[in-house]
Order: sequence, then structure tokens, then C-alpha cells
Amino acid sequence: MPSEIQIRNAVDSDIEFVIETIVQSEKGDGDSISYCRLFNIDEDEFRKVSRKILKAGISNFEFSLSNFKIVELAGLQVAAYGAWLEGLDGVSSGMLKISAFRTFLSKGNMAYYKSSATVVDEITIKRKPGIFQFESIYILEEFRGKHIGNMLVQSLINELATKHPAVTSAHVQVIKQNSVSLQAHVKYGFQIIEEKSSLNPEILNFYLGNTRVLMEKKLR
Amino acid sequence: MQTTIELLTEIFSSLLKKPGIKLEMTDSPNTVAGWDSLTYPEIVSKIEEKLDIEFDFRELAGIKNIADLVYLTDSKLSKTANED
Repeated sequence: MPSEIQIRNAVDSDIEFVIETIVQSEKGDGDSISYCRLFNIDEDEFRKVSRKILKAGISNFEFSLSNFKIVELAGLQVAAYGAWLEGLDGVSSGMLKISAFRTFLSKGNMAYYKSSATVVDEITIKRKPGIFQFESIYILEEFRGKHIGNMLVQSLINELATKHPAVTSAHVQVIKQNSVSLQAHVKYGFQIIEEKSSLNPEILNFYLGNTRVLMEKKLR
Repeated sequence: MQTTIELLTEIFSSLLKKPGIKLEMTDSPNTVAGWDSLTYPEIVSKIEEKLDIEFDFRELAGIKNIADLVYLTDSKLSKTANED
């Protein structure tokens, strides 16, 4: 592993890299972004909205800049991963996320969401309060296979566990057919504890596959 | 005159299709079946539409329960009244 590697908390100047992280993490092995399908927006619009949400500076959900850690090598961002404690301020990440999109998207986009969300809801796994939640990992291709993902997971857990020592587990949700992400998280110490599938073929309009898995990493 | 919690009760009752629902200040998405990320955008839009106010993301991010929603709505209304 390169010795000059640094892991640090994301700051305002990392917003574009964090957006890239969210986009690439969403695409996984494929080329589609579920949020684009959910709200009927294109990738450019998704990036614009993500920028607005990240700049709002609200913590404890998928689009919180302060929940991301950045891996830097010789001044270049090469990887990022986000994590937070679910429900810390009494508001679920799901409510924060929909409040954000509702604020920055049009009424037409939200009307579209109303119908599309019912399809996605079939494989939604509600996040449990009091558990660390991991979401959106991205490592530049040339830096994969160098244990950077594992370093990020450990760094995020160490920081969160210092602030919240009573928490005993961390969760990540992955589409089962996204084999790269699934296998990577097995290597990071996560195990599948729950699966939710849909027989509705429309689910494939949103995700790479029809099954979402909940993976858990015990912290002690 | 209708109080804010009565208005919220009317809106929740209509959008969640729960006639007779009685909201308490302590109610939250954990206690009101159907108050979730699918229905919340409509609930918020309906409050805005009925009262001619607008909520931003930072304000909505602080809503944990009905009491927070009542307080935010009332503070928006009083701000609007002061501006008039």
C-alpha cells in the first residue's frame, strides 16, 4: 500500500468527488442510477440536485458531506465512502432524503416518484435506528485491490464508534446481483442477514437485479 | 377557527385514507401508520398549498413529530402575517 495515502473527512472542496462517488456507486456493475428512474431525471439533473443537497449540510443520511471520508494519494482523491448513525437526531435517513429531493425537484418529478416508488418499495429494507449505515463507496479503478475499501470501512467505524460506543453493528444494503459490491463487503467483514426480492419485472427498470440484501458487520 | 393540529389531522386523514384519525403532538412516523417517505412529500405539499407557505429542506430536516410540524407551520404563518 502506498505510504503517502491519507484518509480524511470530506470538506466542501470534495463535493464533486462525493457526487462522482454517489453516481458510480449507484451504477455499480451497470450504467443506470436508480434516483434518475425514480424521479424521471437525467444524470446531469441528478448531479445538480445532489450538489444542492450536499451543500445544505444536513447530517445523517446518504447525501451528507460530513458523513463521507476521502482517501487521498499525493493530493488526489482516489476513493470515498459514507456512513452515519441512523436516526441520531430522531429523524430517519429516509425522511431526510425525501425531504431533500422534494425541496429541490419539481412537482412533476415528485408526481412521477409517487408511482415509481411503489415498485421500488417492494424491496426496500427499512434502516434500523441506532445502527451505523454505510452507503456509496467508490474507488478509482487503478486503486482497486489495494485494500483501500477495507481501510475506509475501518476508519469510518473507528470514528463513529468513538462518538457512539454503545453501537454494536454496522449495516450496508446492496443489490444482490451487484456481485462486485457484494463480494467486496464480504471481504470487509459484512454478512448477509436479510434478503428482499420482487417478482415484478419493472424492478429491473430501477436496479441491476430484483433482490436487495441487508449485510451486517458486528463491531464486537 | 381551525387550529394547526386540526388542519394537520384533516390532511393526514385525507392523504393516508384514515378517517377518524386523531393526531397527538407526540405522534411521529413511528406511531402513525402510513406516514412514510412515500406519503410525506404529499403531506408537506398539501400543508403548503392550504396555508400558502413554503418549507425548505433545512426546516423539514428537523421534523421529528407532529409537535415539530405544528411549531414550524405556526412560525411560518406568523412570519407571513408579520410581513403583510
